[in-house]
Amino acid sequence: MGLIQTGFLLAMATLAVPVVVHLLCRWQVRRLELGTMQFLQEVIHDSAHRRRIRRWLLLATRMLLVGMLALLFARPYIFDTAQRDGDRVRLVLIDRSASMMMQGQSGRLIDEAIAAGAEATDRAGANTQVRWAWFDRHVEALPLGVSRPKPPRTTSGDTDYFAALSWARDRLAAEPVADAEVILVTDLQQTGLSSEQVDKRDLAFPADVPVRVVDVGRTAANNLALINVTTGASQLPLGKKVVVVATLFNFGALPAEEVPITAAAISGDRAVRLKKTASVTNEQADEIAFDFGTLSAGTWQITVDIDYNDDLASDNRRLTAVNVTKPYEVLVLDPGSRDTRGMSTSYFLVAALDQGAVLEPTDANDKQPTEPNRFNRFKTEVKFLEDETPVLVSNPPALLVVCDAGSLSIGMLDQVRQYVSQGGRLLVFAGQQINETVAEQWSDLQLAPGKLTQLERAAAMPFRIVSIASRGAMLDPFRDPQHGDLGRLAFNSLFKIDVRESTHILAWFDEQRPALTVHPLGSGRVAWFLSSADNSASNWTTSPLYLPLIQQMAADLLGLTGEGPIRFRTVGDAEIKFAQPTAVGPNQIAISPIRNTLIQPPQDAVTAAGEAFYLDQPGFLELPDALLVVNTSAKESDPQRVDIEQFNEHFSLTAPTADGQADEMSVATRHRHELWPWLAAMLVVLLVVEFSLANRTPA
Amino acid sequence: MMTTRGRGDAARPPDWLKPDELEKLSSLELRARAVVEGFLHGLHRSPFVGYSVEFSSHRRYGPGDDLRHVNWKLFARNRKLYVKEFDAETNLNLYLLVDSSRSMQCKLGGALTKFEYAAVLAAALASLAMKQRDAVALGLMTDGISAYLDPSSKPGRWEDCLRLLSQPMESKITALSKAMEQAAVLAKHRGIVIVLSDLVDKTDGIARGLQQLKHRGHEVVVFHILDPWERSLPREGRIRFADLEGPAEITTDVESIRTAYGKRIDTWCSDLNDICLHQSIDRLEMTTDRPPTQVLVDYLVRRTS
Repeated sequence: MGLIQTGFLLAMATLAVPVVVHLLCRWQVRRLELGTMQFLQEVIHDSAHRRRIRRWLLLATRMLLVGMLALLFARPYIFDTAQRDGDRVRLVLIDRSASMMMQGQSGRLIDEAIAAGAEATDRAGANTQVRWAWFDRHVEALPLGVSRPKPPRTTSGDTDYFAALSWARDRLAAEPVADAEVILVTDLQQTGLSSEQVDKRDLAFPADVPVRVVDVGRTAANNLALINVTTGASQLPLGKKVVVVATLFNFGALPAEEVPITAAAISGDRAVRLKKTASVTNEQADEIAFDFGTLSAGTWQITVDIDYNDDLASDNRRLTAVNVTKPYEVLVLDPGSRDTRGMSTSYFLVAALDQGAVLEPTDANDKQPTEPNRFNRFKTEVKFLEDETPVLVSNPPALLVVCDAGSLSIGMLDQVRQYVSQGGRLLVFAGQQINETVAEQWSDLQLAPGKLTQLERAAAMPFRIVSIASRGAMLDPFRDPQHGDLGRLAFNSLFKIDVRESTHILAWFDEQRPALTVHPLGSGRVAWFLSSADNSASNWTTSPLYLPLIQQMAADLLGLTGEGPIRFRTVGDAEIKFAQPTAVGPNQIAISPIRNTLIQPPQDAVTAAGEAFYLDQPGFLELPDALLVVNTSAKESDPQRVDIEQFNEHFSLTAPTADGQADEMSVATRHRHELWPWLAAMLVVLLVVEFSLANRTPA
Repeated sequence: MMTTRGRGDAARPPDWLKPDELEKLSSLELRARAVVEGFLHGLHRSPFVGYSVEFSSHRRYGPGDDLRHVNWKLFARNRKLYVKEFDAETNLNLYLLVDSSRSMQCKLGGALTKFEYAAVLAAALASLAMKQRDAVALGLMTDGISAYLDPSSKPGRWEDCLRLLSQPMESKITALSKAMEQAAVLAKHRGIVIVLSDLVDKTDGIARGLQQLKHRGHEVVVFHILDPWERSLPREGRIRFADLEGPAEITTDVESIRTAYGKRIDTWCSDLNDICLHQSIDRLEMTTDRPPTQVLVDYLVRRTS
């Protein structure tokens, strides 16, 4: 007999309670002097023996009651052993990593794996429950009743044995059976022993469950793989050369001579193709650079292929992308006039935007590092509202910056509203000139993050940014105070607002006053800084933090922060589907819903509205705000293998003892049979007995 | 045995006797049902036939008879001399035997000890008798008659009785049989013997003692006095009972023995009842939670009717 809640056995200590009560009852007596004592003695003498028995019986009943209660909560169970035929399970895990596309003796390795799995299950007997599952980095269980799975046309994943065995372990733990066996059909690729998806914790696979490893792999004598393709940076300035460097590795035993390599860059209907040849000795790598020259502005999807007939074809193609951009046009609306003496409101702002630069990549062919060049990401233009009224619709900028929210006329606000609704990006500094009418206009047009209430001026102590939001890429560089403590910035005035629900507050002044907010409007985004852009309310313009902060505000609105507009992924990675892909081109991939619960979606999924999915094949995927570049894992190209003994030793697995013999036998199943209903019934009976005895027996 | 003669001087009533208790008895009288021997004319029928008020019978005239009692009308009809005889009426000797053993000190459910309760009854009866000019004798019973006042109807006898009942008692065990035998010897003239006791003794001894008193021609009345908790044990609780007449102690739960004890007491009372009934003795069972004078009034009214 076992116990489910063993800890409740500690309650057995309460067995002392009835004993104590029993003794206490003995001590609490009154003394009375009686004249008719002789009759009492006679009565006592007559019933003494009977009462003594009842008293002990009552004590025993009470102790039994307490013990029974403790046992009831401990939930005892016994194993109910029965001879049955149905409780035999075989979990067949078929490797469908990219390496299983290699040719075997009678076809592809994956076809041979399915045949081997079917053969293994055929020996298990008629009453065996067979569960098939694919695995690469994830496990996809096939529906119950599938007798022989249909092999996939192509496979692209990388092997992860840890994930497969973890799934099998959890599956067996959820539905324990007497006779279970895991059949793992794989090519025993060595790189699959290391898992990248889960913690390196102990697998703790149950020792009583044998794992039959069926090796269908073979040594790959000839495999040439593109293990890396890069442009150095995902964004390049317009006018700079685009150089793609491909790393070719020869995993085979023989050198590869004059291997044709094709690099193709495609952007919409523009395409550039380059061809080269390369020779790589065995177990060596070589880098081949493709100079595409200066490409026009746009996002270029670059594919590098090798035309080589080797064992593994999936690593003969690799993808990358580069965003060739001209500086983003930033229109700054200054409330003053060009002829104003002194510094204009936009002076520091424009200076900060113009001085921002990112490192230009060095030429990939240059072996010696050179002094990095710089280029501006933003091209700023200032419009002085006292001099002219700009027209946004005809030539919309990439980013519109309003230096002082109170300076915009109603007509100008309507233009701004239309601009943002159509996908424009707006950065607004509240300034100090917002009156009630203007504030209402901003709010009514939903250009403001909420209701602008009043200008608040600091008393003795200036306002400081005291906290920033945990999420959001705009202020990422400032999370570590050692890199930039925004709390050092002091402001004399700020605008108080009552934010809307859709507004995301990125930073706060003291007493939870919003400092920096972002909210969507139509297809565009609006960011507000609730103080002045110039030095009228703060000396922050002279702070070293001013430039990076302004740069981050502008860059984040343009989608340049975080991973940027081009994101590199590996087959098997999880992604959040925020919206349907905008376009599906010839090289673009379809997405499939999430298949496996072993891998949790990224934490962003907690708040994101989209669903999680796995990228299950290489290709390009255009999302509304980014381009995903999905490649196969480079580790899958390594054909090195392990033997079964090493595999079992690595994961501490138990190999099956004798083939087939145990399968033919009728298995003895052990079911956990809980006893608590019986205990509850006995408890009720004991309660009745105790009640009856207690009313008839002195304690 | 100590015999105390009454001194007749005034005494302060003891604490257990409430001044207004005896007022309730003022309208009652204690009449003997049987023939009693007294020295004076009184309310009670005398064993002697004399020339008194109540006609008894005729008898043949004999030499020496007083001619005043000859029934001349009968002589005129029968030509024979007959004399008229009359029943004599005399006063009463009331013997009060009060149990003063240790068991009478029990005071559990009532306001008085059993002895105090008996003393109140004895005082009330003595007062009643004194009012009727009857002679009152008082004896205290323990393992014999430990104190005794001879019958007397002199003024001051009641105070003597109170004084005797108020004396500190010797703690002795009960021997009712022996005490009643001694009382039978002391009560020379026929009268009413009232035994006030809890009768906690062997029943055959009690029967023998009562028989002795009956043989002397006394009318015997037994006032069987019990404490309420002796009659019926307390409701609940764990109690250590101590014997008033011995070292025995018993600790028990009352609930467990209450019924059996009640049955045993019922049996005992039933046995006593049989003994008294057999000897034509009034047995009056009472518990100390009832007002003693009320008990007495009820009994005397019932007895008179």
